[in-house]
Amino acid sequence: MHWGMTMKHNDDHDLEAFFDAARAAPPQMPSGLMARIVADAAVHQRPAPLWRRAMAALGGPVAMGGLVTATVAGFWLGLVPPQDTVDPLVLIGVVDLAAEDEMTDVLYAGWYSDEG
Amino acid sequence: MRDTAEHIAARDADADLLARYAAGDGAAARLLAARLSPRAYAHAYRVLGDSAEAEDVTQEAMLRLWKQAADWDGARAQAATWLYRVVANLCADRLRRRRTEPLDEANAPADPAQSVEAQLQDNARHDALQAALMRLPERQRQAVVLRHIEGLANPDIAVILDVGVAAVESLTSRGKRALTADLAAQRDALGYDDET
Repeated sequence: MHWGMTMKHNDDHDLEAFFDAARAAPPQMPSGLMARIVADAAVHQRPAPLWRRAMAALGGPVAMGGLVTATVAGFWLGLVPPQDTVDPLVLIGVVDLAAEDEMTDVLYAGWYSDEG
Repeated sequence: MRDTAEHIAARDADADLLARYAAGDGAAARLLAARLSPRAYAHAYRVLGDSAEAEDVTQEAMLRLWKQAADWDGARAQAATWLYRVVANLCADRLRRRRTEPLDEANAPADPAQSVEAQLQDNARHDALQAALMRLPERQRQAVVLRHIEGLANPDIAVILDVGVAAVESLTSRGKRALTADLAAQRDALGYDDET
């Protein structure tokens, strides 16, 4: 439709058609402008704090969450191992189980006698 | 901007990206630039009617945003509204300078009849509106563009133009009346009718 036809009757409805056309075709940014804006951003950006860069190097907040969970779980297992856990040091012969039992008896002799 | 869920989400996203940029996240800068700078450029172009000047204004306004990021108070300002305000002020400054500088062949306004003829060839309605906008007083032009093309709410426009809401309503109302008359006069001056 010719724009002159649209303005045959001067009212808000006609003007709104012009606004619609303007909204439908916003001016496009010239090529290169976005790159210059992002380059400005890089120049004026403060470096991230050390802890944030370390977290990013480890994979971000989600990975850090997993790492903390695994660390806590490992610490807990070391502190309170399940009863039927087999000590890998015994399996490879680094630790003599009989000698450990003997040492335990010596160390806790007083304790057992108090209980018993 | 209107208080729809979409606009509130957009405001929160802008604030989040600005905080991430301030914390050293380079990707946040690219995302924020992609969200805000096309709107800044569009407003500057529609107010100034000149691509090169709109480009300069957009880059300068975004530069000011980057510099403000570290001290940004999200509770006091919304990034998009703040940016529109900077763009509006930069445009007003440039238009003031234009009035004080002598016109030469390069920046003299085009012959309206000639420009309207060209408009008939391609995207006539869009170009006719831009030409008519350029003949509005600067404040009316800014208010009409922000309200009726950018789609901002009157309270936001009041913040951007540093006036009351009633003044915004007056500016947009007078601007629309002037645009309607201008576009009709162009049609009548060229003798267009329904068959042309």
